[in-house]
Amino acid sequence: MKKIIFLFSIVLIVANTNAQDKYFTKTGKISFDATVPKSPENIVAVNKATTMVLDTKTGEMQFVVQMKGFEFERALMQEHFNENYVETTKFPKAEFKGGIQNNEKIVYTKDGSYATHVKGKLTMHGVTNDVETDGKITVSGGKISTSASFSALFADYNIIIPSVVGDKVAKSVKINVECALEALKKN
Amino acid sequence: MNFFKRKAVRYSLLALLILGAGAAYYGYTEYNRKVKDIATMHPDFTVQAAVLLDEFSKNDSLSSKKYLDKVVAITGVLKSLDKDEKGFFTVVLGDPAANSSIRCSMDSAHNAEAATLSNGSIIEVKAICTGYNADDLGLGADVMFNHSCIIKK
Repeated sequence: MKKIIFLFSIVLIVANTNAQDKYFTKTGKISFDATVPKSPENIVAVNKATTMVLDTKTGEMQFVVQMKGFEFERALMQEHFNENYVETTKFPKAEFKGGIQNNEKIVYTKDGSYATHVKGKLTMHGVTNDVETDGKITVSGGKISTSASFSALFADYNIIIPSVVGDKVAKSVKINVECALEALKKN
Repeated sequence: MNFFKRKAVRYSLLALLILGAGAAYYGYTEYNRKVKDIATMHPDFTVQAAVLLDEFSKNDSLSSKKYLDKVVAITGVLKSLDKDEKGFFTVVLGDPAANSSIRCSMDSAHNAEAATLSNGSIIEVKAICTGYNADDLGLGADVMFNHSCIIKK
């Protein structure tokens, strides 16, 4: 009987450890900036409902963002973004699947700021491309937050900006990702 | 004859000027047009949270066609109130025992309306549907909304 209880305890501990490896958020922020340098028109938008999962054991990470969730200051920009450029009805989601290349150097149980190198595949507007960038993981009081920024060319994702606004929209967009994660509790 | 010609040219120029000024005014106001305040928008659909979740779980592509970009008034149980590090609230509606939820990001102008909500209460939210996340990541399926405001607490 003691052996059974001991084995059961081991199974519970292992299961709990695995659950604690995964962290997630559904309120991650992705913002982008396609402002032309020195232009007075800021072309910026933010999405406050990004879903992200990070497996701290393997460094694998994935995020999904609903493209219609990007909020602009000006309604016209938002309409052009959704209807003409990114065609969000046809391509509703953007998705990143990849991993932290130097995950073994991050001590998720110790407070600190850790430089990360992230590599993966970004799918947007129906096109998938390799993406590689540096980022940061911050561990503070058991909480994990991630941040990274990278640039992408509209042309690489078959997003065509009409020549009439070509001088107002940058050819390359700077994308920032910020996520405060919480431990995924298994039911 | 010359008199009539001169008059016609004058009126044509005046008409062009008025048209040009009108076009410039339209362009300026259209360019600077802000996203409408959700509180002033009439809902395209009024629905219970459980019904909406059921529709998406049964046929997400059909439901997306029906609800995406539409203003929806949703009544349901407040499952949780998520507050991010910058103080923005997300109102989560649905059965507290179920994995699936309706997630409504508050409009920045109406964010404070969510501050006093308490879990378990029945509320009505008005928001714009932005998409559906199926349960691909093992986190439960979610119907997503943004620009939310609280209609009834």
